[in-house]
Amino acid sequence: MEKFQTVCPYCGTGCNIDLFVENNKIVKAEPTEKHPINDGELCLKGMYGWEYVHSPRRLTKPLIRKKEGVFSKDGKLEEVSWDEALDFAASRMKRVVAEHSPNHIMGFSSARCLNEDNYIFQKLFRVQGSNNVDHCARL
Amino acid sequence: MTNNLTEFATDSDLIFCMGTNTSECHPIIAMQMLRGMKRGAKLVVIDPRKTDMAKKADYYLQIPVGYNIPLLNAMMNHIIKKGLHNQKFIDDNCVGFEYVKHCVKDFTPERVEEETGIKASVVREVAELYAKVPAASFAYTMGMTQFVDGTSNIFAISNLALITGQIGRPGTGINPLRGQNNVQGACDMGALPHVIPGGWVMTDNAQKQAKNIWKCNLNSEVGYTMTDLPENIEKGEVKLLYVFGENPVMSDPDTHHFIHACSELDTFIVQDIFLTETAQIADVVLPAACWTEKEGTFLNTSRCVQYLPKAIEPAEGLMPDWQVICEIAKRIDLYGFDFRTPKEVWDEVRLMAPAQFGGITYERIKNRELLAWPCPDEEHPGTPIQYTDFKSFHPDGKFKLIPIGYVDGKEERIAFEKKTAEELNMPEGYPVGCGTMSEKPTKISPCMMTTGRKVYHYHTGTMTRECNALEFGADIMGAVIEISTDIAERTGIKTGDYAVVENKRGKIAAKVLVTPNMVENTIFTTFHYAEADANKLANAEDQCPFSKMNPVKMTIAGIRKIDEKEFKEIRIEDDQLMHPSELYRQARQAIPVAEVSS
Repeated sequence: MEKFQTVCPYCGTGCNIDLFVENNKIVKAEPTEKHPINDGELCLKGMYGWEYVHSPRRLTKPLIRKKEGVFSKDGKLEEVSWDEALDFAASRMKRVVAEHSPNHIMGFSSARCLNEDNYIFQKLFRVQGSNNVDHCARL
Repeated sequence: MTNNLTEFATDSDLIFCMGTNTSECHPIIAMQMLRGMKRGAKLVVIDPRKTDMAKKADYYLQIPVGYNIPLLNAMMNHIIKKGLHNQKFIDDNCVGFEYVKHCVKDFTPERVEEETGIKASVVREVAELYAKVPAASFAYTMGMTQFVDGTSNIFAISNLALITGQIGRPGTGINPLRGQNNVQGACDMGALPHVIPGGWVMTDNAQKQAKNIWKCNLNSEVGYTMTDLPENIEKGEVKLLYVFGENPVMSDPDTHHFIHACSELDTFIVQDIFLTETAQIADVVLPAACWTEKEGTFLNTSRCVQYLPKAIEPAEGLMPDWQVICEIAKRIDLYGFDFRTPKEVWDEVRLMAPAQFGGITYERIKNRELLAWPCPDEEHPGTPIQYTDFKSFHPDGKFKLIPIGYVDGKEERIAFEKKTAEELNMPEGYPVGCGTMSEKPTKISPCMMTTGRKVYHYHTGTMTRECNALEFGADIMGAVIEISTDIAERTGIKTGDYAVVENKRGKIAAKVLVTPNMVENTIFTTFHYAEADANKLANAEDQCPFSKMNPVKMTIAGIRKIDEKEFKEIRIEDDQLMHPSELYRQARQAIPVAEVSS
């Protein structure tokens, strides 16, 4: 069993958690002792809120809405390869910027994800000329 | 937060909580506050609901939903009348004291008593306590911001802290307890329409940084806010939406309108770890590695950057979010997305905003140094307390005191602001704030309605409802409509009955919990549950004029008792709209709602 000191994924307090991992699975969480923020304590979510990581409902394959094998607004979400999904997303974004303007694309970033994720996300919009980036801190 | 959250335990003499349900939403911060109380600190709680913290408080003031400005102004009225304001601090560091003096003069503690029933003597006591103690800390959350006058509410807090000099020292400060784990980080990383790491988009510094580091010309016009999005889609001004790690179908107000607007998009891209209610209506869904499956950093509510190691391998093919985004950028042939590690990404952040993050290296935070920004160089110890020199960020270094009034109807706001600016002969561009109610009860929607969270779940439940210990172990009640006792008496609805809450935007059905802890004529429910999401009824039409925030904490609704048959019909409709998993519904239906006592 290996121990990793990490930070809770729920509220903004930033409690430190000792996460115990065995065979690539989280097996338990404990509060980090003597950490200045949570000092050996955790709430319910910090203690038991890690199970979702191993949920069978996690998405593992990209999906595109398709009808009879091609993209369609009336279609159903179908599994596709990474190349197809990334090419599709990139080409649609490129086309909207070219045919309309950089102001016609918008992104909602994530207060749940890493600084590094957020930085790259807003950079994607900014370098194309769009400042239309926001996230749920507005609400 | 201007200060560090541990100062509640170690330094504050008074902890002043307004619009925060701290023990349910920030349990460990509540623990730090309770440690402070053991040391001898006093606690004041102001909230429409008598929360756990309210029950532990020295003073609890139960205000109607949205009655923030009249109360804060009344406190300032009394402080100034008694000469308890800090004249030296104001003279040395602030401008605009005469504006505030003018605006608070009609707000007396007696007026608060008349309008709310809260004793004028209690308002006077808490005001004197705040002004007199050596260190008073003001803590708040969405119960202050999610209103049509949200920004004015915060101006009022800032006025109170400044006229009493309760800032810049240990245990004081203006302390928003940030909601999500990395909401501070998302803001600091530039996930906002007006700012990049390096400054506001129109400033010379931001323009220069973008040119030098990103090799691009930064658009100097502020972009769209998320609250403007549905309308912008309908006007054809937004054609492509890319949502990552958010579930706006559930978390944004007026669900029907939001879903309808999204159906008009040319392309809707969603990147998430689950097939959320939002992902289900997307054109393309990109999965990603989640927490513990990737390395990186979060920024907590005290502005501290913390390191998270990768602890487990994700399923085959899954990449961290930043890498998925880089892959898209490379396929559009964009420059500057060749990052190999999260450390390389962070090092670019440090280059973009050196004054803030220059000294915060992966090496230091991996060694568990707890560094709060600003931290400009690698010898710098970080800045746990802001404004210790009593200088603001304005060019003249002075803090602005903002005149804040309150009007009866929202249509009177502009006239009030204009009149105030004229009466006080204010310089052009100096802000004037004004409180008001976004909606008032009507014959059809006679109750006030507000929203919040429960300790068991987080936000739209995407993660916590996938944890059996929380969903089926701890949270025995599921979605519940909480109502005040006077509504129960008026309508005959009892705890355990089924009821529907509805207004012109939508309706939800759930079991009812009658609670003596709620201010009169008020309904409360959460936005954790797709099968009964309060945001279906929330107001997306009105906006705060400064921040464009929607008043999701205040709406109006009607309530009526329904039988089990109608309850099931509404739930089926909701399932078609929101598709919660079969598992949730089966486990929910048989469980009775427990009685609660005060």
